Amino acid sequence: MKNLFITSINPGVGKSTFTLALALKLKQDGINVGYFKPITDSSRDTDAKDAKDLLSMEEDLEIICPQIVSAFEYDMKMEQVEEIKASIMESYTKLNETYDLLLIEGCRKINYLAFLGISAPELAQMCNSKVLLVSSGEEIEDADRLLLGKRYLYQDQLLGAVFTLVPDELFQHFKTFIIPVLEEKKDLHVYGLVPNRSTLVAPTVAEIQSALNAKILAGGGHMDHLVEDYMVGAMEPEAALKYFRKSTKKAVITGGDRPQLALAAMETDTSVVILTGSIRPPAGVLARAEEKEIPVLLVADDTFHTVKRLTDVNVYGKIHSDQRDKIDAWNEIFVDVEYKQLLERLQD
Amino acid sequence: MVGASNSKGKVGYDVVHNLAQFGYPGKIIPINPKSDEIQGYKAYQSLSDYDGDIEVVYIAIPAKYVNSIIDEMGELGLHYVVIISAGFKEIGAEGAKLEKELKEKLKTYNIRAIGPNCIGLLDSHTPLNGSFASRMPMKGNLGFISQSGALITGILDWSLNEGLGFSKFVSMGNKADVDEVDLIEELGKDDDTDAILAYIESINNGPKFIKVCSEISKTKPIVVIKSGSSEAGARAASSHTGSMAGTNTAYDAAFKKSGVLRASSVQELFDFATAISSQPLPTNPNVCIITNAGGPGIIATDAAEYAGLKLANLASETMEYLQANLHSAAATYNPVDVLGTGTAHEYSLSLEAVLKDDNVNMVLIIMTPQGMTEPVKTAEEMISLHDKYPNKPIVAAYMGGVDLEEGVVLLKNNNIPCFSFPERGIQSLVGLWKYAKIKREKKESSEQLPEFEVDKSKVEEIFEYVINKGRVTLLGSETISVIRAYGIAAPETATAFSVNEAIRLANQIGYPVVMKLSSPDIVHKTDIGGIAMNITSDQEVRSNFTEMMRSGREYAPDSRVMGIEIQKMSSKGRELIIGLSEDPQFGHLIMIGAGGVYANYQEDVSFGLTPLSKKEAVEMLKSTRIYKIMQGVRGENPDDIDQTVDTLLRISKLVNDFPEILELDINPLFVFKQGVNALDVKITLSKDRVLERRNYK
Repeated sequence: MKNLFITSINPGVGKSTFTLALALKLKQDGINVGYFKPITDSSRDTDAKDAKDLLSMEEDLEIICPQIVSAFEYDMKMEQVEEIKASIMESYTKLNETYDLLLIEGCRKINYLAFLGISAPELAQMCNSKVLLVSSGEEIEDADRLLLGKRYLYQDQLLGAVFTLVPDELFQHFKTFIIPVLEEKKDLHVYGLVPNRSTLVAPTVAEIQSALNAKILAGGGHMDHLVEDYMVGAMEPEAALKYFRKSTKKAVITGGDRPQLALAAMETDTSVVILTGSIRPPAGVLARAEEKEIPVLLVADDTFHTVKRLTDVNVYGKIHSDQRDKIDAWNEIFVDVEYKQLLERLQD
Repeated sequence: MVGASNSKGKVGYDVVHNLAQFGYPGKIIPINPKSDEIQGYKAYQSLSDYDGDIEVVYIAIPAKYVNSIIDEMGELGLHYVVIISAGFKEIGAEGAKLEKELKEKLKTYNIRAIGPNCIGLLDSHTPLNGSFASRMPMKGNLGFISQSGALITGILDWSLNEGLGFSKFVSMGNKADVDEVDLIEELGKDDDTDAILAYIESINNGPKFIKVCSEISKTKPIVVIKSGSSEAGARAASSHTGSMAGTNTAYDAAFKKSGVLRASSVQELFDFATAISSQPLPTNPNVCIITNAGGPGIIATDAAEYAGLKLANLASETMEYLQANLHSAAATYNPVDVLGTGTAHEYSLSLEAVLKDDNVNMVLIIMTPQGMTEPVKTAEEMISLHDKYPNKPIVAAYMGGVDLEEGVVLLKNNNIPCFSFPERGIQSLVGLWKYAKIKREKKESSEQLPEFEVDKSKVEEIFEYVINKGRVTLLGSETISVIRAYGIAAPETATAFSVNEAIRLANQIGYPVVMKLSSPDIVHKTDIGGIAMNITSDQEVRSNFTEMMRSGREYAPDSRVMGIEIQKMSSKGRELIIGLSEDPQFGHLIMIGAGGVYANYQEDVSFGLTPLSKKEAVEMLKSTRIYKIMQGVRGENPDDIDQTVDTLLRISKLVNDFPEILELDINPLFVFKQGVNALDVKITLSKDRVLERRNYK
């Protein structure tokens, strides 16, 4: 059986989360599946550790994720590239012996490190894999980008694709029009549509607190809330309630000197209140937070920069084994993903 | 008294001292682990050490030890406690945790508690001063509950100066258990209390407040100062109480609905109270003013008219009598001016004449100190005439200090309210009249809520669908389906996500159509070219579709939903807006008023709390300015006011049946000469409540 190499058209489309979710699903079905990430771009990447924990893999992290190559190393010599390849093969060989099926995750996107000749197609070939392309489905133009990706791979390397982050209203469109056309005219099989449901990729308050290096002022016992959206509080208090009601499981970012906005936020479905500018709020606000069981965090940055850090860094929540709702949400999604057919095709 | 002390200055000293010095007839049991005796009473080490019956426990020890006393009370089967100790929710997160624990214990042991963080309670009839306020109120019939302990001590001191008696003072503190609703209910049943006064910063349970007050205001006036109505005040209040300052509008609507009188100042509160505690209620707003100086008479007249009272038209017999018996230069219309030379005799005959006059229902007597004025004798006359004609309220305004002092005291001691300025006298009469109206209205109405035939299951279906899709905001076509299910006329609407779908729908609905950007993240569509009207062909649909989608995506690139609504074009009518927002304290606040794109700036709206009766709905509409125009002006026929009221009532029913609706806006609602049409509706839901309903099924 071939292995499955999973890469994406663009970064930040939930590729890692999808990979782990798929691995878990296969493992639940009794497949002896392992995880391999040949190259990562940062030492802070926790994908390998998460996979090791979730799948209970015995191998060391250095085997599971042997190489770090960042964008700053593009000037390396050819010998170094060969060394990297050799190290990857070493790890691969070990893992391949132990597991019947390896899910191999590419780094960032399909053509990362193409310049050095170690991007997705090269690695997939080295590891005897078929490739699954993960693409966002937020707009119809993503179909165009997917076809570009297909061209980039070697002949016959592509197994198929999965669209993620599909808005509900485009679901039918994809199903009834785009996917059949890709199948018939472009010889590209789409194995599934993953809807844009924030629960699937939401970080916890704890993960956000860590990413922001924030202080916990209240509600410290409820850091496991999922955060599915962000809202900024900068309006007149009368308008605040109406505005905050439009979103659920959200982080609300506002100044500590605007207690009414914080209170209004806590009156709605809010997972965490983040106060900026190191301004502590009045006692009443923190008391209310305890009552409502909503964490209140304090950061030094101003509102603008805080929002930027949160949304740029893409605090994509990882799936930790103790996050029941996330795992459940992903399991539900697999109803719309033909992972069994995918498995069969790998065995051809 | 847990925390009783021999050290002057400590709260534990004051409470015991006050219980004793003001003659509490029951047994006082000081609890102090370090003393055998407190202020002459045998002290015990703990509650458990005392053998006999304990009815109420007072606690004045540091917050962190309070909960263990509650535990002890639980074990001993004691059920009533007044917790004076501070250091709970009001200090922040740590205190809030303590208070949460406290609440749980109270519930477990079934203990009723006042406080924490309060000054205690006072009762002039028992008598009981279970507080650290150093005075005792005069015996009276006013009950005062307050969320601010400091306000109580201030008012208490003032009342002694004013000679105004109170039955009870209760300081609520943090309201961990007993709150304003409990106390209003109690005072409603209390025979010693004839009027209930309250200072409130926040309300724990809005709907219960309305229910209880609606009932009690049928027999006793409830007058409230709710602070935090200004913007800065609201900010201060929410910092103080840690609760969201419910909007002032919601409070106004709630008070109106429950028959509660709202005072705009502490002075107004007590001016109302002064009159209410001793005077009968008027049956109409006709007031007569008797004065010995023209100027103050006019001031009072102005004040009366502005406040909604009417200056009585004296009957001809009355005027003839006055003309015959007063000085020739005296004014015998209303205000009656007995002139600066007026003595007790002139005041007396004038007062009796107007009291006998059927056109007069209330009297204000103004006196300024002149050479011939007889403040004491005049007061005596007023007192005896009031006894003779007890059904009409009278108040006095003795405008002076030293010279009129004795007269003032006499009046106050004989239950005739006496103020230093005529405006305050008028204010107090206004209070009487307002309550009289409330009482009458409460008697008249016990209206059934209007019934309608509606399709509940359709609405349930739509809401569940939306929540399943991970949204809480409905698309335009979904909202139209919802209100149509409740019998409100709206044009056919559907949403398209591609050009071809749009063309198909437009043909299905039938040209001409309107195309609107559909996205929960775009509020002001017109501002970004998000509405195209009078579309009459497929070609137009095609060209508008692309442009509008592009515009929408540019404006809200992260929006999860972006489509185009196709709607049958409606003719134009009177533009109204109906809005609804759930107030966290009182439930759904509904409003109606002038609509259109400038609605937010015109602010011609009136508010009410659901569920609305037909009477309330009609009144709401009538209080808008646009209502005048709807009635038909400049030769035009009137708009369909019945259907407008009907629409308002159906919306009220909708949110009553579906409390998961947090926000709802119909803008515009077109009203024609016949019928209405709701063109644009927005609805935001509470995800939790929709799920609750599903799980409950």
